[in-house]
Amino acid sequence: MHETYNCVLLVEDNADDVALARRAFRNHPDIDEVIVVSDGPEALEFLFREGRYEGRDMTQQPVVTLLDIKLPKMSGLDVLMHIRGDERTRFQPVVLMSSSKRESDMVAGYNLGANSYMQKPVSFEEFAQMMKLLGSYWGALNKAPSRTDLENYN
Amino acid sequence: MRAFKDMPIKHQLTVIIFVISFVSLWIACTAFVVYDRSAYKKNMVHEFTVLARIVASRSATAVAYKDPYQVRQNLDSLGANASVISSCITDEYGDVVAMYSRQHAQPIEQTGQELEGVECLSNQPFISRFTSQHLDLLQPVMWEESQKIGELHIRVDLGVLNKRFKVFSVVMLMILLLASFIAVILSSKIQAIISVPLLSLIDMADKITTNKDYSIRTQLDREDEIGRLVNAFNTMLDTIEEQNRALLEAKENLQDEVEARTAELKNINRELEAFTYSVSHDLRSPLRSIDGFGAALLEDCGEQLDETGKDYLGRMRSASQRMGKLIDSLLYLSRVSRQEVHFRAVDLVEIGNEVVDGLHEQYSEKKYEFVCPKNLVCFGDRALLFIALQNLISNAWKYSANTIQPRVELGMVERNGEQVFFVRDNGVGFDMKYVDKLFAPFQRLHGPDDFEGLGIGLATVARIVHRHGGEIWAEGIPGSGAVFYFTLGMYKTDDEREQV
Repeated sequence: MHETYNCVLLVEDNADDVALARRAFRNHPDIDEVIVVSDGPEALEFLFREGRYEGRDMTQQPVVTLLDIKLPKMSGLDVLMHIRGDERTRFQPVVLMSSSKRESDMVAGYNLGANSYMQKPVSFEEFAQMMKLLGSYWGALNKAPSRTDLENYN
Repeated sequence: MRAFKDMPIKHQLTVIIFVISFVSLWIACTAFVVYDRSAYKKNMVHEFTVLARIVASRSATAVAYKDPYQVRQNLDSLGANASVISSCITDEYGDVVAMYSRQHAQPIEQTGQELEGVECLSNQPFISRFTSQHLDLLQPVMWEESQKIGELHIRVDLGVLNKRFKVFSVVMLMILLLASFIAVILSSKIQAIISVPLLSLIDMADKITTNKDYSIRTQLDREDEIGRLVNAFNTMLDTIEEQNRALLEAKENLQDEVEARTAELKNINRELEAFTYSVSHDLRSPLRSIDGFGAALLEDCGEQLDETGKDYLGRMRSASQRMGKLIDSLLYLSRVSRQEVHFRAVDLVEIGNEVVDGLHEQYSEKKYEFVCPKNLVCFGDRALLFIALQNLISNAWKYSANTIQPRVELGMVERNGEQVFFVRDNGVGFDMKYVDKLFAPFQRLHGPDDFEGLGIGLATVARIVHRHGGEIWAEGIPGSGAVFYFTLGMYKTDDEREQV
C-alpha cells in the first residue's frame, strides 16, 4: 500500500462516463479518490485553489488530471493551456481523453504540453483496463516533484 | 532565275521595270531606224530614177547618131550630184558609147559586166539594185519611145545613207542609255509604291511573331490588292485578338470557377470532418454507456439474472461493441478519402511481406503459402497502399481459412502497357453475380458466422485505388478462389499529379 494520499482529478461533463470512471477506479490499489468537476473553469478553480475551492488542502493536489476534450464553456485544450501557462500547475500531469481520435486534437494537445492522449474505448472492459493502468502509472510509478522541490530548485 | 526569285522584292521590281522599258525602247528605236533606212532608200531610188530618165531621154538623139561627146556631156551633168560615182551609156549592142567616172571610182566596164545578168529584165522600164556600198540603176534609152537603142548605167554611192544610219544608231544608243538610266531611277522610286507596304506588312508579321503582340496594325489607304491584303491582315489580327481575349476570359472564368469550387470543396471537407468528429464522439459515448452499464449490471446484479437474461445482456453488449467498431471503420474510410496522397516509389512486395508476417502470427494454426516476385515497384502513397494491401491480403487469408492448402499470390501483369497488380487466393471465392456489391461499404457476401468482418475493407481499398487515379475489379469462382486486380494511374510524383 502507498503512504501518500493519491487523488485523480476527472474533468468530465458526461454523467455516464463519470459513473463508469468511478466504477473503474473502485478498489484501485494506487488511487484513493476520484475528484470530479464538470467543466473547465471549475477544474482551473480546483487546481489553482480559487473560488469555491479556496483553502483546499494542499496535500490533495491530484497525481494526474484526466481532461476530457469536449467540455462545455471551455474546451479541454483551453483548460490545458491555462494549466501549462500557470507557474503553480506547469508540471501537473494531464492526460487528454476523448471519444474520438481526431488527429488535429492530438497534435494540438501534445503541442500544448499534454502528457498523454487517450481515446475512450466503447468496450467497458477496455475502458476499465485503461483506467486501471492509468491509475497505477500516475499513482505509483510516476514521481512528481513536490511543491517544496519546485521552490528549491526553480 | 532562282537567284532572281531570292532577291528582295524591291530589287525584283526594279529589274522588271528596267528590263521591260529597255526592251520596248530598243524595239521602238530599231523599228524607227529600219523604217527610216528603207524610206530613205525608196526616196533615193525615186530621185535617181527621175534623174536617169531625164539623162536617158536627153541622150537618145546623141546615142542614135553616135555622138559620144554629147553623151559624155550629158553624163557629166550627172556628176553634179555628189553621190553619183560613175555612169555610162551603152548602145544597143552593149558597147560603151561614153562614160563618166569620179576619181578613184571603179571603172564602169565591170559594172556593165555585172549588169549583164539582169538583161532578161530589159523589157522592164528600169531596174535598180542595192549592194552594200552602192545603188546601181539601169535605164533604157528609147528612140521615139518604142525602140530601145541603148542603156544608161548609174552607180550611186551609199555613203550618205550609211552615214545617216550610223548617226541614227548612235543617237538611238544614246537615247536608249539615257532612257534606261532614267528608267532605273524611276523604277527604284516606283517599286516603293508596291514594295514599301509589303515590307511594312512583313515587318509587322515579324514583330507579331517575336513579341506575340497582336495589337499591332498597319494603316494603308489603298483600294488595290495590297490595300486588300493589309485590310485582310488587320481583320485577321482583329480576329486573333478577339479570340485571344475570349480565351483569356474563359481561362480566367475557369480559374475563378476552379477556385470557387476548391473553396467549396474545402468547406465541405471541413464540414465533413466536423461531422465525422461529431459522429465519432457523440455516437460512441452512448455506446460506451450501454456497454459500461451492461457490464456493471452483469457484475453487480448478475445473481438476480437467469442464464437467458445474462445472454440477452451479453448480446446487447456485443452489439454495442460491434457498432463501435462500425463507427471506427466508417471514420477510417472517411479518413482514407480525405487524407492527402503523396506519390513516391513504393515496393508492394515489401509491404506484402510485412502484412503476411502479421498474418502468419494471427493464423499460426494453419500453414499458408505466400507467392510473390522479388519486388514490385509502383508509384503511390505508401501508407495508403499499406492499408489497401493489408485489406486485400487479410481478406485472401480470411477467405482461404477453410482451404486445405491455402495459397495467396501477390503479382503484376501488363495490360495495354499498364501495370495491373493483383492479389489471388484459392479460398471460397464468390459468385460473379454479386461482383458489383463487393466494393460498396457494408456489403458482405458472407454472414458473420462464416467469416467475420464489417464489410468496409474492400470499400476502403477501392477508395485508396481511386485516390491514386487507378481502377479496381475482381474475378471469382465459388469454391475456387478470387482475384482482385488494381491499377494505380500514371502519376509518379505529387508535382506530376498537380500538373495533370
